[in-house]
Amino acid sequence: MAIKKFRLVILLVGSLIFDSYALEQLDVQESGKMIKLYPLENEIMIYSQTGEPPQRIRTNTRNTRRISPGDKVSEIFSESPQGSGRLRSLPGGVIVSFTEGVDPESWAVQNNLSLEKKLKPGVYLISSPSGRASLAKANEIAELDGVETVEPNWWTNVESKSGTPKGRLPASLEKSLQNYFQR
Amino acid sequence: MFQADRILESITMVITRILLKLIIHMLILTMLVSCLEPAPVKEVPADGAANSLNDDTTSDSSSGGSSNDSTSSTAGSDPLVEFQWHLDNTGTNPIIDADDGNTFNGVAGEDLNIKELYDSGAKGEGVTVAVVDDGLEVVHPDLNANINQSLSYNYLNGSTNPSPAQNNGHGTACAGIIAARDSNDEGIRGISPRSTLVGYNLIAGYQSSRAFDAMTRNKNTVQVSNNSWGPADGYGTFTDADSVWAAGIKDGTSTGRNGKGIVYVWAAGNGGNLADISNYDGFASQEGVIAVAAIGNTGSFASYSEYGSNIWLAAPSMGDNGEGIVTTDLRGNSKGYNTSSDGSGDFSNRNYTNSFNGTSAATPMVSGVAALMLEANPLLSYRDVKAILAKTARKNDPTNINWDTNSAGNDYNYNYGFGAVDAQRAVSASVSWSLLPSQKIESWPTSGVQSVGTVIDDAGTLVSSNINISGSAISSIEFIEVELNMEHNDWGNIEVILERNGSTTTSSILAVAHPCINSSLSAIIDCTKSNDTFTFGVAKHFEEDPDATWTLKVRDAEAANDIDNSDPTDGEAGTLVSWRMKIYGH
Repeated sequence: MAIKKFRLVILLVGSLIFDSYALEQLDVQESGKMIKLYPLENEIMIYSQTGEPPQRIRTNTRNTRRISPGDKVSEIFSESPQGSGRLRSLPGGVIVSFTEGVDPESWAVQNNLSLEKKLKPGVYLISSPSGRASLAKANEIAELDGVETVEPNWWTNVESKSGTPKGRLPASLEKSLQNYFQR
Repeated sequence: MFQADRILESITMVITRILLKLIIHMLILTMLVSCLEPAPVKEVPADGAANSLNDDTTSDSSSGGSSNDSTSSTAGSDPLVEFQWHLDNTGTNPIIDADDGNTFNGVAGEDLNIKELYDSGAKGEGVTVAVVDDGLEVVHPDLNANINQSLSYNYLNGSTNPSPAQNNGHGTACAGIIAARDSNDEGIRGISPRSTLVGYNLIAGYQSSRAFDAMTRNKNTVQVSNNSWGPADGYGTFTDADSVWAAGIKDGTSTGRNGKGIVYVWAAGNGGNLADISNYDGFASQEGVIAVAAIGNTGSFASYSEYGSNIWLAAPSMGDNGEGIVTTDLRGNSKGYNTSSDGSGDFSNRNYTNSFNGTSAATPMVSGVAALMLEANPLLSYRDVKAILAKTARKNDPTNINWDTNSAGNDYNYNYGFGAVDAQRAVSASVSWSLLPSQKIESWPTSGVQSVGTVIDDAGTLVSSNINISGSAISSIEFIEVELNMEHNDWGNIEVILERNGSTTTSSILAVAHPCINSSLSAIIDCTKSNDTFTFGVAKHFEEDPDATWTLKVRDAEAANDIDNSDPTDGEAGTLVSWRMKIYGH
């Protein structure tokens, strides 16, 4: 019964995301610049609250990992419409730097927000739900007095630098790629 | 009666068998438990001095070993050190502890030049190095004595134990290159084998807020931060740095080490075979980091190693002959790089591997050398360390066509930066080094940005724009950031060159026409960008005088290169909107 309930949750989340991101372009404000992001189809990130690494999963396969109570879920966004390069998702949280003279603690109480972690004097991580809700929260906070900069707390796909990138281009292309610059 | 005896005998035999089985099972269980039980974790103080050389001597003598006993290890030895060609490349180093018929293909002398330094006692004592990675196995017998677990951090569970829960051995491999304990009768020797290691498992669960934390955690204790990670390679995309991470770097260089700045060492990237260059990596292009490229044991670049004008220097790793770096691996047969399933060609002791590679392996080479430099002179700022590394680097692969000399007389090569790291020269220079004066940062043009507004046509017409700098308070450039604002649907078509014009011209290639690769690395696509700006990092103008006319040259080079092997013109024109320079120097 419990398993079925989780499958249902996954299907619901999957179907919601599937409907919402086909070829969609999302404009997001970041560091004063507008950036374009593209939600990947049929993929989500699950952030476990039990110390497991975040997991990127496909929602349209049968072997989907269960979403446990307390897990946070986010869409995955690509910086290119083809889904390559840097990926991002939103595990929750908004990073705020305050203008000089603002007391973050009283500011948080006044705005009914929760300071989760102090990164350095005047810069805090503020709690927010995961996924697009954290974008909405970031936009909301940006409108408040006393705020200098606001950034969503992004997850991005960083990787260790051992081994060569996975995947294989056709041999002819791989050879031609090396010709763009004489090393 | 006879029957009764037989029955009694049978019962006795059954009981004896049961007892024997019980004893055997108990023995097996005890052995299993002892195998699974982790070695006790020793917490060493931040000065890393918990275990002295005397401790090793004592432990050796207590084992009953004798220097005359050829069957035991030599007192205080590192049994696999002869395999570590990066410490002493003799040209005949063994590759593996079993005769598999393969011979070493390295060139004698293509190493860190560290042998005499080690013999003179330089071991990195008192220097703390953070390994920011996927984890750090704190119970590893060749690392444990150097790890300060109380300063380490696990971002997944909030504990101070960064040991990887999964099969992630990357951080443990990096840590061994830096500071595997020496003279302990275990495996290998690190470059700074008495420095203190702390582990932060940031990349096991990257988040912007955690990245800030990992760059600034224990910022007055951590002197060197090793970062063999970054954005995904091979796609050719222009990847902006995470702005929150970048703020952490700024904080660490300006306030870390009580104002002297944490030395951040960074992997240049492994996408060199896929037309990716390090200049497109916003993480490896920051002023506050030292971007490290990889060279093999012949002294030439590894073809996967990304080139770029942001590269600071090069260091040993696996080259194109496939001979890798010997380092620590996750303990046991089934974890890490050296496993029972694919361990052929690797050490029989699976706590070590001879196959570590990538700019991942080159980066901790420089971190280890930086630790030795800071041991020799703790007053050095992160800028001093960068400058010394550049000034003392060795001009490797001297016939390579990309060697160029800037107007300050410094040799530079896109593949190697200022050359191969040289530990002996770097540490010697550290002792007598005159500290750099305070850093100055200037933005040019002073009015904000140099507006251009010129169309970059599809036919390859050159668009150039000048910024004239005069009266700069800086006389010696340390690093340049060039912010480009360009509207174009395919940034991969564009070639970007920065020139300093003087009696001699120094030219820095920032971008070359190249294709981008799709997410499965199987086809060529346009290089789209999520916004219209990108900041390039430029190392090549080190020590030049900024007072000069600087020219940015931009053109659509697809016509010349026919990137997608189809129509050489693709109808994609764009506009160079503006650009500006941020110069760091003194």
